[in-house]
Amino acid sequence: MTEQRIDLPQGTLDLLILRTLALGPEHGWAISKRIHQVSSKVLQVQQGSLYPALHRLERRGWIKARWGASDNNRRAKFYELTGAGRKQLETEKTEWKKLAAAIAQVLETA
Amino acid sequence: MRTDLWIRLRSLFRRKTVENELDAELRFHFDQHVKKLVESGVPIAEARRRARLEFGGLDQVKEECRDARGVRFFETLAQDVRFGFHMLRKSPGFAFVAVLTLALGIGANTAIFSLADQTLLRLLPVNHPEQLVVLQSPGPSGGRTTSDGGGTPFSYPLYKDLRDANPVFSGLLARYPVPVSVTAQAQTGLADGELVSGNYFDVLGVGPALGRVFNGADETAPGANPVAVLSYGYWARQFGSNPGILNTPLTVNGISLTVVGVSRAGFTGVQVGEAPDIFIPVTIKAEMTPNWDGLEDRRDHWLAILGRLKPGFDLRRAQAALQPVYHAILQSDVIITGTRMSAKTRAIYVDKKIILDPGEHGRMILQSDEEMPLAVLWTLAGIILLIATANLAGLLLARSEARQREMGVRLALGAGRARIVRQLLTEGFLITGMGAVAGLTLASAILRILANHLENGLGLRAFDPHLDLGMLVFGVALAIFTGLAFSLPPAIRSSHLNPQASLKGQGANASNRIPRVHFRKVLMTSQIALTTVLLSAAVLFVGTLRNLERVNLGLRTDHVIEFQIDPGLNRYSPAQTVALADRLRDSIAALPGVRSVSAAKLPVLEDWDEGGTIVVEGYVPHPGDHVDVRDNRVGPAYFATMGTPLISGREFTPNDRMGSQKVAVINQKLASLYFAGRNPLGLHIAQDLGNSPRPDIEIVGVVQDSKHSTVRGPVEPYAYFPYAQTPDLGSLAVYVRTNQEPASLAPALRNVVRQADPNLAMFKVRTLVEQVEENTFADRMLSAGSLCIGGLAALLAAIGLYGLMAYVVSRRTHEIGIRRAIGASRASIAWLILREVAWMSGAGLIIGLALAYSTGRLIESRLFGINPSSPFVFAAVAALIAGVVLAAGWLPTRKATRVDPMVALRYE
Repeated sequence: MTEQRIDLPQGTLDLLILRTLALGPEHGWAISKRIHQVSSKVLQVQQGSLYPALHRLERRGWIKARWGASDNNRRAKFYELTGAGRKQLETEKTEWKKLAAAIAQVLETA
Repeated sequence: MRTDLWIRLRSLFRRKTVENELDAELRFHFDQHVKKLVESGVPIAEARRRARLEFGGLDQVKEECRDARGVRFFETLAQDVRFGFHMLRKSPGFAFVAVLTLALGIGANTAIFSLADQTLLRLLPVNHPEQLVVLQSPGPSGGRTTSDGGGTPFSYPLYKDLRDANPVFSGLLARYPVPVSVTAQAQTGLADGELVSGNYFDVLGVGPALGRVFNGADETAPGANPVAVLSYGYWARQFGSNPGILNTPLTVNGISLTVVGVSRAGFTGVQVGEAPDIFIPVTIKAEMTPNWDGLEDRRDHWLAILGRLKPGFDLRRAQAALQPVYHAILQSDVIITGTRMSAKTRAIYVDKKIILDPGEHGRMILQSDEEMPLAVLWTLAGIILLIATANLAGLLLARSEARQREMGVRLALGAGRARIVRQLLTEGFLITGMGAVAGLTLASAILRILANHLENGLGLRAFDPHLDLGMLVFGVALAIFTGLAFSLPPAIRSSHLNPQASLKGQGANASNRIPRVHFRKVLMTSQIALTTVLLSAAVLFVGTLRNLERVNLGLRTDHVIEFQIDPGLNRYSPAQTVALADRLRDSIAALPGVRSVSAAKLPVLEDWDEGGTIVVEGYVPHPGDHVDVRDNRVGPAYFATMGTPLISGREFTPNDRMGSQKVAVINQKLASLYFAGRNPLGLHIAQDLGNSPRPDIEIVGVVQDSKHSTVRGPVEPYAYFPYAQTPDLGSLAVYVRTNQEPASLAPALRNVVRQADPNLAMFKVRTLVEQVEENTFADRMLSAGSLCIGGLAALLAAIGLYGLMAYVVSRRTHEIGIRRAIGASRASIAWLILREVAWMSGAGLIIGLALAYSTGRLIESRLFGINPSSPFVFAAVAALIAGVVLAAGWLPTRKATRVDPMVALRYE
C-alpha cells in the first residue's frame, strides 16, 4: 500500500489495455498486473474500472473474448486484439503522443 | 456495429449465461489476487480480506460491466414501461380518454389512408406500369356512346385502326366491363365479365397461374373464340382453386365457353375498384351484351383503350407523334360516323385531339360522389388527431408540473437529463402504442364497412379490408409522430428543471411558471376552436341525416322485400321476359304472407335514372323549350305494392299489354306542370324521339309524387308505362309487400325463381328499408363519424379545460384567500375564475365559428335541408360549447368560491 500511485487520466485506460493486448491474448488479471509492472508500479488499474473497460472495448469490436485455461489450469476469460482494435491502437497512440508532446511543450516554454 | 448488436442481444436473451460468465471472470481475478498475496507471505484470511477491500463493491463492478455491454438500454426500457403502466393505472380516466381519442384518430386516418392507397396511390400489379397510358379523345362522337364516366370510349373498328397503325405503342389493349350470368355446378350467378382484346394480357405482361392467358389468336372474327380466362380470385372463390376446371366448358349468358386458363394471382384488371371475374374475348361481344352488338359499328363507342408506350417515349412526345395518325384515322372514320353531322361538327370531329393520361395506377372513374364524404371524414379525423395531440400535450404538461418534485428528486439524485426525457417519452409512447393497436383494429373495422358499402352500394370491388403492410406502416408512423408531438415538449421542459428550485416548492420557480400557464391557455383556446369546427360539422351532418330520414319518399318502405333478375343475359326476348314476370308474379302472390307483388324495369332509390322528352296533348312548350320527364316501366299493382297513393284514375292491370291501348300513369308534379287546370285522365302523351309524334298514350291514372333515383334528389315530373308495352325489357326489379317480417320471405322467393328458371341469376335480395339505408350510406357514415368525432372532441375539451382551471385555482388559492379576507364576494371570486374560462372559450368559439363558416361552403353539396351559415347552426354550436365550458368550469369555480380565507392564508 506504500507504492506510489497515479490516477489514470480519462481515456488512457483503453489505450493501455489495447497496447498490452497487442503482445498477445491475456486475461483481465494479467492485464492489470502487466500494466502495473511495465509502468514500474506507478500505474495501478482498479478492477472496478478494468472490467467495465474490457466489456466496453469488446462491445465496440476492438477486442474479442474467449474462454481458455490459465497458467494454473483454471478457466479464465482471455481477451485478444481484433483487426479494428489494432487500428484503434495506432490511432490512439499517435493522438496520445501528440497530446503528450503538446503538453510537454507548454510546460517547458510557458 | 454487428458485434455491438450481437453483444447487446446476447446480454439480453442469454442473460443467465452472460451473468455466470461475468461472475466467473471476476471470481478468477479475485482468486488470482488472493493467490499473489498469499505467495508474498500474507496469511490466507488476511489476503482475502485485503483483496475484498481492494476490490470495492463487487456488485458495483458488475453493474458497470452490464452498463458497458449495453444491457441497460433494454432493462431501462422495461423499467420505464412498467413505471409508465403504473402511472397510467393511477389515472385510468386520463388513460382511457387518451387511448380512445388516439384510437379514433389513428383508426379513421389509417382506414381512409388505406382506401386512398388502394384507389389512388397503388400501382397496377403489371410489368412496368409507368409505361401504361389511358387514351382519351373528348369531342363529338357521332353515334351511340356507352361510358362509365372514366373517359372517352372508342369503337372497335377505330381501336383496330389505332392498334395497327400507331407509331408510339409497343401494344394497345381494349376492354369493356359487362355483367354476365355464369352457370357452373348447376348454380347460376352473376359475375363481372371483362371483354378484352386478344393482346390484353400480352400488353400488360400478366401471365397465367394455370393454363394460358389470351393471345392474338383469341381475337379473330366476330362471333369466334368461345374461350374464357378466369381471374385468380374468382377461380379460388367459385371453384375452390380446382385445376380440373381447365379446358372444361362454362355456360356464360347461355353459351358455352371453354376455360383455357386462370390469370396470375393479384391481378384484378386495369380499372380501379373493379375486379373482373372472367375475361372474355371481345369478338363474342354480341353474346355477352344481349340486344346490343355494335362490334363492327364505327358509330358505337364503348371500348376503353390503354397503351404501353415504347421505351423512350414520354407522354408529350407520344401524344405529338400520335396526333397525325389519329387525324388520318378520323378522316376515314368520319365517312361513316359523320353522315348525320353538320359540316361544322364534322370539322370538329376530324380535329379531335388524342390525349394520353398516365395509366400507372390503372383507369379511374371519378367517384366524386364518394370521394367527398371520404375527404370530409379524413379532414375531421385529422383534426381530432390534432386535438388529441394538443390535449395530450396539455395534460402531460400538467402532469409534468405535478411531478416537478419527483423530477427534482430524480435530478438531484443524479439521474441524467436524457434519462428523464426518455422516461417521459416512454410514458407518452405507451399511450400512443395502446392507441395505435386499438386504432388499427378500428381501422380494419371501418374499412370493412366501407368496402362492404362500395361493393353492395356501388358495385366497386377489389377493396381489401384487411390490415396490410402499407396500412400498418402508415398507422405506426402516425402513432410515432403523434407520440413525439405530444410527449416531447413536456419531456424537454421537465429535463430543464432546476432541481433545487423544484425541491424547495414554488419560490424561485414561480417566475417561469407564468409563461407555462400561458402556453397551456393558448393550447386550450386552439383546442376549443377546433372543437367548434368539429361540433358544427356534427350539427350539420346529423341535421342532414335527420332531414333525410324525414323526407317523404312517397313510398311505404316497411314490409317490402325486393330482388332483381336480368333474364336478358339468359337470352330471353323482351316478350319472354314479360311472360316470365307474369309467371313470377302469380307464384309469388300465392306464397303465404304476401300482400301484393309487382315489378319495375328500374329499381327505385338505387341511383338509376332514365327519361326523355315527351309531347303532351294540348300543351305547347315555349320556343326552344321541351317537356323533359323521367320514366320507369312498371307492372300491375305497382303503386299498391310500393304504397304510393293513387290520386285519381287507375293502376295498370294485366290487361295493359303489347297491342292493347298504350297507357301511362303520371305523377302529380307532371300533372301540375303540364296539365295545369286540366284533368289529365283520358288525355294523351307520346315519347318524342325527334319526330314530333302524335300523342297516342292515354293517361289512365295520377299518383302522388315519390322519390325514384335518390332520397335527397328533388321530385321530378314522372311518367310510368306498363313494362308489358316496353319493346326492350331486359332486367327487372321485383317488389313484394308482406304481412310478415319481409326478410324472412327471401328463401321462398329464391325457390320461386329457381322453379321458374334454374339458370336465372337472382341478385340484390334485400328489403326496401335496407335499400333506402344503402342510398343514404354516405350521409349515415358522415353523421355517425362526425358525431363520434365531435363528441370526443367536446369530451377532450372539457377534460382539458377542467384540468387547466383546477390547476389555476390551486395556484391562486393564496390570492383568493387574501381577496376573501379583504371582503371580496363569492360572486366576484367566481367571476375571477370564470373570466379566464370565458376568455379562452370565447376566443376559441369565435375563431372556430369563423373557420366553420369559411369551410361550411365546401360541404354544402353534402348537406340536405340545413344551411351551414344559418344562425340556428351557429347558435346550436355555441350552446354546445357553452355547455362544455360550464360543465368543465363549474367544479373549479365552486372550489374557488369555497376557499376559506383563514385556511388559505395559513397555508404555506
